[in-house]
Amino acid sequence: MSQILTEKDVDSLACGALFLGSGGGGDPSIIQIMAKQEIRDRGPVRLLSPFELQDEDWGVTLSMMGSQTVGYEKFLSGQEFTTALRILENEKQITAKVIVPFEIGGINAITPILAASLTNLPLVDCDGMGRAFPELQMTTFHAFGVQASPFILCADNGQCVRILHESTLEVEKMARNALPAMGGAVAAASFPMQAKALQEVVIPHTFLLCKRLGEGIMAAGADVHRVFLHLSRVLQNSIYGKPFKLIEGKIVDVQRYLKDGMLRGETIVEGTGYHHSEQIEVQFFNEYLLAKQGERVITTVPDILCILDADSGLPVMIDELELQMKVWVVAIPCPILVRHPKMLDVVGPWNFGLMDHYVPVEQLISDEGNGIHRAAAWD
Amino acid sequence: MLRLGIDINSKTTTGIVMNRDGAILHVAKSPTQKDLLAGLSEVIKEITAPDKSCTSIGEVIIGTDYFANLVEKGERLSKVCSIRIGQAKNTIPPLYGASDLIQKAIEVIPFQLYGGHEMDGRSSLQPARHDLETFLETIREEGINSFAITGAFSLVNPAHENIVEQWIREIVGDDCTVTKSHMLGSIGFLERENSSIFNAALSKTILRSVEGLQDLMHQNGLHAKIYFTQNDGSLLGYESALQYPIRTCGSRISNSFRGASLLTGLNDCVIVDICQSKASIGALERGFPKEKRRNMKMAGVPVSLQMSDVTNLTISEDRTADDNNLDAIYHAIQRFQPRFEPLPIVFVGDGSDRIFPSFKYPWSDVLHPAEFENVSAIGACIAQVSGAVDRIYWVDEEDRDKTIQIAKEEAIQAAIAEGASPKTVFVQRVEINPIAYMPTKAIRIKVKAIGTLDFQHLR
Repeated sequence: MSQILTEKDVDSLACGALFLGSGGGGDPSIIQIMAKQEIRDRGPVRLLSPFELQDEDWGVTLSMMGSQTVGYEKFLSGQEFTTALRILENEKQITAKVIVPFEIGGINAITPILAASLTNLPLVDCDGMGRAFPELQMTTFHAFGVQASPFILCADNGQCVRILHESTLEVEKMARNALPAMGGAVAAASFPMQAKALQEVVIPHTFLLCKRLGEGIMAAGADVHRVFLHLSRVLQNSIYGKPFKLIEGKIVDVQRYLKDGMLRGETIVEGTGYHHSEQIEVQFFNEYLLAKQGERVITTVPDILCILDADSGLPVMIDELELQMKVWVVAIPCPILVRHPKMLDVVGPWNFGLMDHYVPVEQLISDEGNGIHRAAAWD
Repeated sequence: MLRLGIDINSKTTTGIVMNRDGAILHVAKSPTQKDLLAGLSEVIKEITAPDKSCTSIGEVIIGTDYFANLVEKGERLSKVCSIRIGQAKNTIPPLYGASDLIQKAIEVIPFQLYGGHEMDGRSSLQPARHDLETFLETIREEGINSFAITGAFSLVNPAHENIVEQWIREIVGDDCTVTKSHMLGSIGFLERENSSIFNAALSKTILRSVEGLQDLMHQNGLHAKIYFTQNDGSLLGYESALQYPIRTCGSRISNSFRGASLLTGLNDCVIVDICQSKASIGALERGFPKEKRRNMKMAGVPVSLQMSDVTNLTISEDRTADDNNLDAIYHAIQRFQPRFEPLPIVFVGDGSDRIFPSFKYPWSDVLHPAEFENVSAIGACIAQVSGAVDRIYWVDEEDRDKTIQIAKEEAIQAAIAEGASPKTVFVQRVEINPIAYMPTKAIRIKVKAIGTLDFQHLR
């Protein structure tokens, strides 16, 4: 059954997408305003389930690529998405019937809505990451055999770059290197695929889930306890899983550094209340990737980590971390599809230089002698 | 050397004369009037009366929410022409999300000028003077003379904002006021633009409001340097305040908090400031008001201004507190309380004697200092000088520490330029954020330095 996305749904989605962004993925607020304006002018965007598409229909992903800091400062007009789509259609000699979302965490949860409205195409209720990841190949699209190429980048100044290469890893490198010269934040069209393939490679129905998540959180009225309760209610019977509260406390250390031009670092949260005398270290590399209690790893990528502001219940992004902030650290199991060995090949912790194996968060936490499980059950 | 701190709230204008040891020598009060100077002149006359022997006042420091209230109520605001300098046409209108009241009061006329910078400060598109001239010609009829200029990455390179300002002055004449966004706040185009528009809307009003202040002081034999206090409670030179009135908007509450800290000797506490029907609840952290770090808003619009993290409540003005008000205040306080070891609570402000007697909080001390109705003026007296840097730098890893050092030095110099005594300046905060998702060497550095006013500097 097809659904529609209204202005209000854009707000809910943007709110939910902050939680699924694992601390990265960017703040969607600007794209959110643009998407709402388009919907106000042109009417709601249609949302289709992947399973109601015709096998031969083509879908294309439209997303933003680059730095969110640049995005706060320099805006796209929106037309870049249409241009990128047209160039790709032309290159591939196809006509896109639907827009396929790329990433449900952060800004790119909202960009496809804007793009769908501008191009007057329906959106498919799915995505390729189930959270936010920094690179193109870290998608179920790539993991299950769809190529990113032809990959089109369009900048705000009208400059367009076309990348053709059968290896998505190569495309990622070439696109990333093209970014600085193009201004740092661009519209991208990629991963053309037919519905038949699409149904096999996407994580289905993440949009409606994210919307439900956002709706309840906005109704929770900045109360972190109610936010967590709602998070548990929505996620425990979904393709994600029951979230865990790892610690409640305050930030006592934040270290950020550049490594190979990327943002890396860690923060330490010291427990208070029930979690008194506990300490958790969260490591990040564009997103929060790993949580450790002492030397024990308790959550690792691709499972999702949220640091919630205890005052507002909303996620704190990496660039917003500061000393003394009162926070909750919450882990959300990633969708089952993201734990598939083929997907782990590209998003397992070793891809980020962390650990050489992956253990799901629920297993790490239920190991004997760990207080976290009890604490989670307690709330 | 003495200081005169003046607090102007919507009801009362209060002047306090303090010596260098923090002792209060005189207090003068007068009702605030629609004309800002009228109440001020009464206070100045009283303070400078011969019997007070306050001849050696070196600084007059004014803290007020007068301009903030004008913005919130949409009163006495000028029409503003907002010029955006960027490469792509930005489809989000200026003051997005503002109420109709504000929209009507300011009536922003937007104009897109193609140009602007990239994140490394270079520019691939020069703004065309001709485009600006043509546009200004079309709005000549409107008689607009307040301009706000916002350019992409103007914090990295303000060249385009500067050149456009120069053009406006050449085309429209010197009678207009021009606000450049790079002087107001940080990364975030929309927030900076909104701040600039509010500032531009106030820029004529502040000139009219304080016109004659210096003459008034001289007539009363007061030859002191004038300062305003800004949002973080630090000093803002008179000339800067006239150019950037928006920076004064949050200052009254910061002064109140700093004053409460002086009166109670507490550096960490929760403060409840009650001024007529408005209760503002916030926290003091290591002697400074806790800052709001996200979602800063003014009149419902996101802005890039530094402000204190305060919960505002409207309460009844009855002599005795009703339960609903007490309950609301209690919950607002709880927002700032740590889960264990609650902080002491300090009630201040001219309305606090209504609430304090009936407020019960069994878990920590509740204080009500003797000079509770004068805290904001006291806070103005002890205002410090700050200097801030928020910029994107391009550095190699090995030069990183050197660059941070440069940024610190810049913030220190900015504080000294504002009048801080070099010996007292220290760096209060450094934040470093690499720019994510880009293979670049860009880092964003924020530094804030604080010092006390140099007394020698003045004479």
